Amino acid sequence: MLIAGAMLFLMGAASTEEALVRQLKVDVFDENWTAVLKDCDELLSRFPLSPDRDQAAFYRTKALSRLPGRETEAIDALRSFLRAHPADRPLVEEAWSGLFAVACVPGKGAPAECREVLGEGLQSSAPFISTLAAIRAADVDDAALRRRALPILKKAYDSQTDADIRNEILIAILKIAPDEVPAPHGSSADRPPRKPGNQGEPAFIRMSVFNKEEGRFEVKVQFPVAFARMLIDSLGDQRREDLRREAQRQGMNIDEIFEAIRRSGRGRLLEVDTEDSLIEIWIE
Amino acid sequence: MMGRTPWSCRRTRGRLTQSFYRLLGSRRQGAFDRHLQACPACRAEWEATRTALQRIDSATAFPFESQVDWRRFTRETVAKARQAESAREQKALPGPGWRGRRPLLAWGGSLAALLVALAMMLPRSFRPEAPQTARPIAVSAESTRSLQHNVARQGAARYLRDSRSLLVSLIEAPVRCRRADGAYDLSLERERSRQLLRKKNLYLGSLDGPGDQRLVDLVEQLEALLLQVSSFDDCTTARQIHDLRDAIESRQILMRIDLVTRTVEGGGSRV
Repeated sequence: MLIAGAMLFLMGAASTEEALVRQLKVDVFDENWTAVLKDCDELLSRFPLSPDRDQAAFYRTKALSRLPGRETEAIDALRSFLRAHPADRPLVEEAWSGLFAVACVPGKGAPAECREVLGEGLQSSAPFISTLAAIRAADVDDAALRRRALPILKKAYDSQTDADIRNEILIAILKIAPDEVPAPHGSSADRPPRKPGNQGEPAFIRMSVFNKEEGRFEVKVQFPVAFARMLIDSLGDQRREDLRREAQRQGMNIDEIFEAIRRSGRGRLLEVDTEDSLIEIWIE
Repeated sequence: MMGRTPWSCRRTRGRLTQSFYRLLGSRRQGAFDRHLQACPACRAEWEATRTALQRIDSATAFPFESQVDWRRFTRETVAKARQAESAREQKALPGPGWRGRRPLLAWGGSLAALLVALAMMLPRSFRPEAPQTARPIAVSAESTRSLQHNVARQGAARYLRDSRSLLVSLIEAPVRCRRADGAYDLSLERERSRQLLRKKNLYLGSLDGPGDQRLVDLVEQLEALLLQVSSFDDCTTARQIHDLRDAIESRQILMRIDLVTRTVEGGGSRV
């Protein structure tokens, strides 16, 4: 009787735990953070040995960071989550990212909490976390922190293979030290001769996108040439395709943008005039 | 054997949208296709549904959004915020003694500004212009901001598209697990989810424009799904895949991704 009762109790508990985990997932998907917090607290207190306890602890931090007025609790919860879990796991990376986001609210300067959190992130042995901290540090008005971030960003830029992540790193370097933006890719060997009359290496690329329908410039920017690829990638598919077509018509391969710049030297690189926009790219 | 049972018209027509967004899984998709081959009426219905779904874009799905002039909205919001800020500053100023000193301070401020301007102009007049190569690289904060925002939008669109492929492949053709304690091998999807989450962490901070909200909402909703996938065991159960499919279907995730990515990647200035 006792054994049967105990088994029934355990089976009942297991199904309740499973139901609670499923409910938690549904509430997370629905972004119902008040309910998520409640589910997590219940799961952690009633089933402290649950295999889903790490997720519950993480979602608890997430819920706190989304609920207005609970930011300080969120920071404490995130710190305690990070202390309790080993590095290099997806939830830990997410927790660091959450910590940076809660502690460093854009446009609110660099409160002590933000500087402290980013400083800790910069020291992390996990490359992604230190890189993320360095990228965030580029937005903070703290010269010492930005100085510390710069070598981390440069190292990450050299070792990173993902183009999207490299772009973000490059932008962060630009914000901290524009003069230290790494040179664009493309070997200097076999460099084709430049057009006569052009002196020195091209230093800047300028791009403007004029929206004809709305009668205004959507984009009007100037960057070191290292950003050429990124500038083109930042356009939507349609405009990028227009550019590619026009470049091809002129015997230029826009996918080899650095080669195209070297070949053309300074001056207008491309102009694409379509029904709804005028895109101009200049090299200085 | 169950998968080989021919589908009825009713069952097939109830799954037209799911088929369009490739949510049926390979076995059910097979039954669906077989029924269409044999049934001209359902085939016509399928063609009509497919054409309609292809024509849906953000403007038809979210008609009120296009009525908002986001630039004007931003301008007016900023103006109101500045007004409120200056009203607060006025309130915060201490009593009449301070007010009495304000004209003097204002003059002092103008004088200081004049001196700074002169100081900035003078060296230029006397110093020969530096050669172009020595010119420090100067990029305006506005340019950087604009580039970062555009890069983040395009990156977020790629993130959505990649997440969509991952979820579809996971639902449609999960790989059977070799171990006995699970049904499906999700080790590849788990790793891919992790990479996508990393990218998401880079973009989210830069998507703060008033027209980015729907993009951000979707990116965040996908984050929950990807976190789920990244936390699965290498060999996961059919039940977990089923739950994931439910979550995707009930929230119309694939359709929403389709709409948002089409707008962003098509060069649309707002989402």
